[in-house]
Amino acid sequence: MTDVEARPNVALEIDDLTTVFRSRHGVVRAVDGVSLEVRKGEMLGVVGESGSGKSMLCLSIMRLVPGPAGRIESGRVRLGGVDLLRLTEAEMRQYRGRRIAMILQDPLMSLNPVYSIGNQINESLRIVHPGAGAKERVQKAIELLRSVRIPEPKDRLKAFPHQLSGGMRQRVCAAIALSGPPELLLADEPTTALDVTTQAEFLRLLRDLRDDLGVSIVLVTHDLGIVAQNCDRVAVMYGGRIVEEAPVRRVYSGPRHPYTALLLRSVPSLETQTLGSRLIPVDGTPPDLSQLPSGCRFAPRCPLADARCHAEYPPITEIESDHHSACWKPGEVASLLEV
Amino acid sequence: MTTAQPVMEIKHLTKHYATGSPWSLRKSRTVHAVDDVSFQLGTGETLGIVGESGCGKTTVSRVILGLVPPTDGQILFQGSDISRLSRRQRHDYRTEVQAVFQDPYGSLNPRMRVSDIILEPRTVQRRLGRREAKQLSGELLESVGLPGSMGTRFPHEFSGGQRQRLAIARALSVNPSVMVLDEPVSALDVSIRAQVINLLMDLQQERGLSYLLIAHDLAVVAHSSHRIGVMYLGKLVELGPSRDVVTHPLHPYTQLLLSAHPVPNPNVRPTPKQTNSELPSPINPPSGCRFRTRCPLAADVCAEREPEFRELEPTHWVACHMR
Ligand SMILES: Nc1ncnc2c1ncn2[C@@H]1O[C@H](COP(=O)(O)OP(=O)(O)OP(=O)(O)O)[C@@H](O)[C@H]1O
Ligand SMILES: Nc1ncnc2c1ncn2[C@@H]1O[C@H](COP(=O)(O)OP(=O)(O)OP(=O)(O)O)[C@@H](O)[C@H]1O
Ligand SMILES: [Mg+2]
Ligand SMILES: [Mg+2]
Repeated sequence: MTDVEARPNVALEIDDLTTVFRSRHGVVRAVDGVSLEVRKGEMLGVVGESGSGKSMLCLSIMRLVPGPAGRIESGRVRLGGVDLLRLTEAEMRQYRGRRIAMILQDPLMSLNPVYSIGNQINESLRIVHPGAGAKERVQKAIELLRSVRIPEPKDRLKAFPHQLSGGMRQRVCAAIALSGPPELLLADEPTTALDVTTQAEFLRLLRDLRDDLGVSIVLVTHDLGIVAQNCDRVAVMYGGRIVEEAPVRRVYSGPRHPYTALLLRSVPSLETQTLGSRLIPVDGTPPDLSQLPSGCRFAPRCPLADARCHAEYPPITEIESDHHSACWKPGEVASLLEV
Repeated sequence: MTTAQPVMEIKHLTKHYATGSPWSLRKSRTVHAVDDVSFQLGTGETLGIVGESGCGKTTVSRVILGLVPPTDGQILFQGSDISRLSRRQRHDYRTEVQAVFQDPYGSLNPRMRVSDIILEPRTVQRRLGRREAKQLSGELLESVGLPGSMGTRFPHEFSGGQRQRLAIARALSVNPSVMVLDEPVSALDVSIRAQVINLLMDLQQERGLSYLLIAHDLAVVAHSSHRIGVMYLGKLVELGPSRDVVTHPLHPYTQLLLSAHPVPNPNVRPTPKQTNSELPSPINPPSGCRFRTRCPLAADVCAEREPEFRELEPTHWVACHMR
């Protein structure tokens, strides 16, 4: 069912994807016309405000948007030339876990409290490696737990989710998603429950999957340090849309969207001069996705906004080669970082 | 700031669990989740706790909250042992000490309206009139940076980060004196994280709240805590004023943690020391110093004797033979 020729370097192509929720408060446009590509063997960081639609973007790719309130309204999501949104549910099941896998943001939502974790890993191995025997699967399960640095993995197979620490549960979910391994991994905040050393080991594992097996990875995270240290490119989301997209170095050295600049400014550091000082948030409140303004969604909070910003939405455009921004004044953004 | 009077004293706290299925009688092994941990929490103080995943941080908070009994040791709240409280006192303790947990979804009832959720601890004390409830929930929501009108919604209509702010609003509803915050901001983006941390600091100033703040983000802990405690495999290995711990860490594990902090600059590559591939486990902790299997300074004595937790510099404590 190939509808178009797949582009050689692109693993996933998202075109004008819109996902909405119907609620008593109107229609919430959680993902609003997002276009994005994930290149083969790259790690793409997705950052953005809480509620900006990062998880819904990933769940839409997996076709796991929680219904009936939520649904994908329009768009295309092509993996190797096949539009996932046009597959039947049965066909889609052939993709999930094998070709694309997702680490859900909330481990408790993907682990079943009444089965041991060994049992749950085994279940997914049965799907991903149908040829493997029972013994082989146990061996593989132990290996997977070891790869995410869970000590005494053999003992831990018998444990139930509540007997593990928060960070261990998160790593068990990751282990399940990596069991393929898939060609595309969507990792939604996979390290929020991990300390920095365990996190560093886990991110190294992801980098190895990318570098050695060519796995393409979408890494959703709040941590701009993680993005800086691990990703090739970064996409910044705000109010259901992508507002900036560029190679990592460019975004950090010269952000071209005011939201990105203010986000970078709010990262707390371990520099001694600033210890104990107040952290700098981005002022204002996030947009209500059921009552979006007609102009730029960031305009109400943007120090650079003028009449045009409030009136017209700036389309995302390539302002330099490979650097996209949705801002009427990309040239003035640098001024926000001067203190 | 801190006063000399501790609101809480943790004395020789130990918690062991059995591994494997709780229903199986087959040989079960012991998880040494927390082993002989002692510290105090001052009135109006924020004590940050950091440490490796699985080292026992949540276990400490669960014991303090009275959700699981300690295997050994004592928790004193305003001088009284919490295992010896009368019914009345236990009830007071439950409102005085509130919690915000690691996982924002599991802790909110999906069938309840947000306003009812955040007022729940409050209505346990006293029923509220409708107008009063509406006003109060509006104020609480705004105090955590959400529109006050969102009280009529259900938790699934909120993003992960928004839900965590609901949990904070709920804990605040009863005016507690101590808050146990287990990863309260790890689900939040940096900007809202900054808002919430600033909010917690303001509330502390206004109301003299004390916080036990468990977090993985060292920068967050360093910015918001007066003191930092570092745990490793069930043990407290370092404790001291934040600035001292961050600028001259005494324990090799603390040094490792600081070196692994991801720097938000793609041109600066930190060089975290490669950790040993053999993983120590709380099921079978190493003899002597539990960190020795990964420690660059380890010597023979480290395998033989457990290092004593001592005050190497004024108010800066460490458990290491090599210091
Ligand atoms: N069932 C639902 N009904 C109505 N709105 C919803 C529902 N689920 C999610 N939303 C809305 O969709 C938007 C996007 O949510 P999403 O979970 O993708 O955010 P996110 O960027 O992943 O945030 P976070 O960083 O906090 O995880 C949010 O504003 C949220 O309020
Ligand atoms: N109910 C339980 N039964 C058995 N073992 C348990 C139970 N609860 C926790 N443990 C074990 O105790 C140890 C400490 O867990 P704890 O949750 O306190 O760690 P943590 O420091 O909070 O870790 P994280 O940072 O990953 O949340 C872990 O090895 C865990 O598996
Ligand atoms: Mg999310
Ligand atoms: Mg924990």
